[in-house]
Amino acid sequence: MTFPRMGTVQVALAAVLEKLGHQVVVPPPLSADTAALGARYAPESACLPCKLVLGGFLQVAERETVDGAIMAGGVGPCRFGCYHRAHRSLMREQGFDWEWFVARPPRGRLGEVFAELSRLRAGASMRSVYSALRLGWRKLTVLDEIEEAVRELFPRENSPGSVRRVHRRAVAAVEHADELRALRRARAEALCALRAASTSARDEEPVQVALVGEIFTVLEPGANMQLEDFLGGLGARVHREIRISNWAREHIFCDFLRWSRKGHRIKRAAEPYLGHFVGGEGQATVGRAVHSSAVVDGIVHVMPFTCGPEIIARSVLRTVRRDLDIPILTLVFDEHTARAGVQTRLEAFVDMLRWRKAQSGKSRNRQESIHDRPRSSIFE
Amino acid sequence: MLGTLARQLTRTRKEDRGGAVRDRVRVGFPRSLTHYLQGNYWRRFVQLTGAKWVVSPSTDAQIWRDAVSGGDDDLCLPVRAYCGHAAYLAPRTDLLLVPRVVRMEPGAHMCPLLLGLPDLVRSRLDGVQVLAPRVCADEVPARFRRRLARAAQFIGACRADGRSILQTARMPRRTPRSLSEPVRVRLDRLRPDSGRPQVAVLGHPYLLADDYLNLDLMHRFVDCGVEPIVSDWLSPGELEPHLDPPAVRPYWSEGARMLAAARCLVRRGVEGMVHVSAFGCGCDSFMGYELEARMRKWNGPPLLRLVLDEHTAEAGLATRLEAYCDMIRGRRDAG
Repeated sequence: MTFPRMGTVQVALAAVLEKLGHQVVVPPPLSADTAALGARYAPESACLPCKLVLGGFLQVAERETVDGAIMAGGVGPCRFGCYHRAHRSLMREQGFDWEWFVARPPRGRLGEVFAELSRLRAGASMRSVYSALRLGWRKLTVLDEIEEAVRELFPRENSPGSVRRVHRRAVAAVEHADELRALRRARAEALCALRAASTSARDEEPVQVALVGEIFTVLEPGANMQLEDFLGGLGARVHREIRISNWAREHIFCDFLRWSRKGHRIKRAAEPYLGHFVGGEGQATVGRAVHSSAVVDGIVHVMPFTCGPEIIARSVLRTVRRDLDIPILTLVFDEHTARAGVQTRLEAFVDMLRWRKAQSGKSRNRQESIHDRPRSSIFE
Repeated sequence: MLGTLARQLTRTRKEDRGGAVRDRVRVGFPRSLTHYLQGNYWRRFVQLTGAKWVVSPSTDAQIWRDAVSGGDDDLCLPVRAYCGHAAYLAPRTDLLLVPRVVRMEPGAHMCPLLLGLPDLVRSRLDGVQVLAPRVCADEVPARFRRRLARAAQFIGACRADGRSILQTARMPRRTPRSLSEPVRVRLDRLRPDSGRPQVAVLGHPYLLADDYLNLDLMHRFVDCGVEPIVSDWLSPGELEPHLDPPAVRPYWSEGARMLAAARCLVRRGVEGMVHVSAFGCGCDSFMGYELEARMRKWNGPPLLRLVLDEHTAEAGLATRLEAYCDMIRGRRDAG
C-alpha cells in the first residue's frame, strides 16, 4: 500500500495501515525529481499538488511493487477532487494497475464511505481498527504539537540548525512508536529536547508572521521550498493555523456528523470580505488572514499556480490589506525550482516587517487617503 | 434597511439631474460569463422590477484595457474580461447585478471563480453596490424566490405585475448563447449549401460567443471551409443518454456536459473536434485531459486543443486553424 505525502501525514497514515496489517511503502520526500516526473505525465496545466502527488506515486512504483494506493477525493468545486481520476488513469497508462481507495468527503453518502473503509479493513476486527485509528490520530496531534513548539522556538535557537535537528529526531521517534505509551514518551522527550536546544533569553521580540494559503503548499515543505524553516531562520515567529489535525477535525468529523460550520470563527472573520464558500481553502485563507491580523506583523499567503479558490482569496486579500493595514506577501508556486527568488522576497518582506515594527513604537504614519476611498458593498 | 437603500439610490439620481426628474434605478449587467449562461433570465428579472437594464457592449479594446489594468491577479481570460465589463458599467449605473452561480444543476458545481465573482468585483472596484443573488439548484424554489423578492426590493419599487410573476418564478436555467450575432447570421446563411466537413467545437459559451476574446475564431472556421458544430446546439434530450453515470460524472456541470457532447458528436460522425479553453481554467485542465484520453479510446476524429490567453497576435491561431482544417479536408479526400 502507498499514499501521497503531505507534511507529516504519512507518519500517521503509515501507522494506521501497518496496524491494519498492510505492508506500507512510504513515498520518498518530495524533490526536484518528483516534480519533474509528475510534470512529465500529469495534464500540463494541472496544479502543483496534482503533479507532485503523481510524481510521488511514480517514484514509489519505480522502486517497489505496490498493490494499492490511498487517495483523497472531493465533491468540488476545487480541482483537488478530480486528482484521483487523473492519477488512476495516468498510472494505468504507465502500466501500474493499482487498486485505489478513494476517501471522499462523506457528505450525504455514508454508505460509500463505509464500503471503502471495510475494503481497506481487510478482515481486521473492529477493535483493532479502532486502536489503529486512535494511534494514528494521536500521532497526528503529537506531531502538530511538536511542530508548534518548533515554530515557537525556532527564532531563538542556540546554534543554527539545532532545533531542526531535534525536530527531525522527534519525528523519527514518533514514527517508530508503535503504541500509545511509547508515543507519550516520545512526545515528552521531544518537547524537553526542543527546550534545551533553544535559549529562553530574548534580546528582541521576534517578528510575527502568519502563514496562510492552500493546504498542500502550506504543509508540504517540498512544495513551498522549506518556506517555514527559512522564515524561522530569518528570526520570524511563524504562526500557522493550518494543521493536518485541524483539517481532519473540520473536514472529516464535522462533515461526517453534518455539523454546520456556519458559526465557525474563521468563516465569520472572512464574511465581510468573502461571503461565500469558493472551494478549497479560499474562504478559510481570507478568514485566517483577517483573524490573525490583530496579533501578527505580516502575512505570507502561499498558493499553487492557477489555483481557483486562492486566486479569489488573493484578490480579496488586497481589500483586507488596505482595510486592516497589514502587509501581505503572496507567493505562487509552480514547478520552478530555483530557491533564490523566493528567499530574496521573504528576506525583504521580513526586513520590512521589522522596520514597520520599529516604527510602530513611534507614531505610525498611516496613509489616511487610502482609507478614505469609497467602500464597495455587496448584497446577497 | 432595504427601503432606505433604495430611497438613497433614487435620491442620488435625483440630485444628479438637479432634482427635477425622478429617474429609474439603472442596473448594470456585464456582458461576459453569466450573461452568456443566463442573461435572458436576469434581463427579464430587472425589467419586472421596473429598473433600467444596462448591459455593457461587446468586449472591445477599451474594455479590455480596463480588464488588464485592474491588478496583478492571475485570473483566467473570461473572468478578467468580466472585470473589465464591470469597470465599464460602474460609473454608468447605480448598481451591478452579479449573480453568484453556485450550481446550475443539482449536485454539480460551477468553477470557484464564478462562486467568488461578486467578491472579486467588489474588491476590484471602489464604491460600487453589488447585488449578488445566489443561484443554487439544490435549494427549494421557495427559498430562491424569497431571495429574488429581496433582490427586487433592493433594486427599488417593484412593478405591480412583476411582484406576482416573481412569486412563481423558476430558477434560472442554462440558456447558453454560444455565438455572437454576426457569426450566427453567417452560419445560417452557410447551412443550406453545406457539403463542408463538420467540425465539433467544444468550449464554454462565454469563450465561443466573445469574438474579441477568441480572436474571431468562429469566423475563421467558416473562412477555412469547414462547418463548425457547437456543442451547445445539442438539446438536453440529446445530451442526456451520453452523460456519464452519476457515480463517475465530473462534478463540474460544464465539464460533464462537454464530455457528453463530445461522445454524442463523435457518434454522429463529425470529422474533426476542437476544444477551446482559457489558460488557467481549472475545470478544463482536467476535462481537456479526459477528453484527450477518451478520444483515443473511441478512436475519434483528430482533436485540436486551443488554449486562449491575453495573447493578441492572430497569426499563430490562424496558422494552426488553417493547418488543422487542411488536414480534415485531406482526410476526407483520402477517404
